[in-house]
Amino acid sequence: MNDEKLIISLLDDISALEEQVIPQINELSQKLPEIYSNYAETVRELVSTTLDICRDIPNMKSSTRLKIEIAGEIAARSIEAFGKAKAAYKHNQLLDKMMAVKKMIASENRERNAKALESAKIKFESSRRLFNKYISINYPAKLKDNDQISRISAISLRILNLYRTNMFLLSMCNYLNEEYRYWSNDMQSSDLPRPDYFMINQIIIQEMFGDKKPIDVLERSSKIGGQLSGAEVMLMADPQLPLITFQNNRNRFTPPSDHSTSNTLISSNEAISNYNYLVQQRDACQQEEPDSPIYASGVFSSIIIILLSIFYIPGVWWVKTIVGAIAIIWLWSRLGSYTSKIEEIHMQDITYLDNEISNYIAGVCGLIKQPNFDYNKKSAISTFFSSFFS
Amino acid sequence: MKNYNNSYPAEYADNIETPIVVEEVRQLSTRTDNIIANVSNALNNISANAVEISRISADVQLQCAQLEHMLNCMMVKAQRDVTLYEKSLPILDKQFNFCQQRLDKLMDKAVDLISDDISDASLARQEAIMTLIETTNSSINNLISKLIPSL
Repeated sequence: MNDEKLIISLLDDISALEEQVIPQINELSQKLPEIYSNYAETVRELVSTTLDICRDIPNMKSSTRLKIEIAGEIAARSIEAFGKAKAAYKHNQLLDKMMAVKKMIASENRERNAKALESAKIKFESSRRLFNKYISINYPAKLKDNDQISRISAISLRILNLYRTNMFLLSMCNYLNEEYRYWSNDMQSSDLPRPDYFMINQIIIQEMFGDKKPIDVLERSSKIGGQLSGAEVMLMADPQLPLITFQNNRNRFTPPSDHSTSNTLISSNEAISNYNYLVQQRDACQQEEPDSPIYASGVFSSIIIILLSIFYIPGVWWVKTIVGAIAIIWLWSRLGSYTSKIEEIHMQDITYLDNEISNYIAGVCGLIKQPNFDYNKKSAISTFFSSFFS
Repeated sequence: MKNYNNSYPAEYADNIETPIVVEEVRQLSTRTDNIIANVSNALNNISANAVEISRISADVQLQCAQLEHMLNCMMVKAQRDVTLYEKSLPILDKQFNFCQQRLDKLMDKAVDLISDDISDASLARQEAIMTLIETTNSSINNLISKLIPSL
């Protein structure tokens, strides 16, 4: 198992609860009211049948029918409200049961996690020393050959990956520590953001370049030339860091056309090439004018209509003009509706391609979807009344 | 008895009782038919509802039982063998300390070695030290994952 998977496996306990237990609790909370709404439906059915029968009894007063109707509706609503209240009660009961499991996990794991956290801190600090040393060194602008460039870029990536992994491990241990602390205190979640590589990459970019915009750094170092710092080598060689810099400014990134080290590094970075390809696809789609053939055919058809109305429609000139004008207006109104549909489809294509770019950046940079569960308990009584009066 | 004199056409005037009875019986029969139709319709709907209710109830009961069982299993698994952990802790501790010290030393060495020297020999030394660091770092990550076993 590689280091990344190993670190993510620390979340296995939480994942087991989130993936297996919580969806079932939510499903049950929806199914229970369904049973009672069926009961309520049965009551409504009985009331409606009774009222139908009453309609055939001549002596029955309308006030009696109204009373039956009101009583039936109250009974049906009470049953529905009871179902929702029972679901809320069951939901709370299962959350309590899950809390007990979480408490047990926390009490077993807290001490061990504290040890892991201690080790992760030491590891992080030592890899940070190495990382800081590397980003401050300067390489000459022109290296001997491509082999030398690829060796340097490989070393830079190994140092970066070591630092990134250790920072991720430390964040994960910190996160688990907080979760266990909350669980021990009968709270379902710490509400801390779950660490992912995307977050870690953003921190690393900040550490490397501070307030400078990394995209500017990338452009400057790839165009101006001169000495290259270790940080710049990392930025150009790594697949994740440059994509993080592109996320807010999704333009095509063109490497310099000379034979500099920067050019070699950027050209051999597959992530940048893939990103450029996706951006190129989107830009090409943006530049397309899908409705221009329709306009051209509209103009052509209008000319034909004018000619037809002049030479083939019998009658005086104003009859020809009115018939021709009506035909042209009808034609353009039809074309207008087609072009708006085509433009809508075109916009959907652009949005789709833009989302493809976002998904690619998110996938390469390790963005994970943050869990969003409702751990709040529901009051059975207020659920009953809100359902009854809704 | 109701006065139906004004309600019936003239041809029935000589025998007023017969059409009244016939009409009443016809109305009664229509009402009875209506009631039977309503009741049977209601019974159909109710039985369909009852089938649906029993299906969802069985589903809910099964799911509840499965969920409770799952939570109980998790609870049992969460009560890990503390004695085993306590026994293994000194060994883990030793391994941790060994790897940690080794990593520290390697890092010190790497900080010295990493430089702007791009000669083949220097790059080879940098590559070699990185390999050692990565191996030791992975060993510590392995130990950490052993420390926190999952359910």
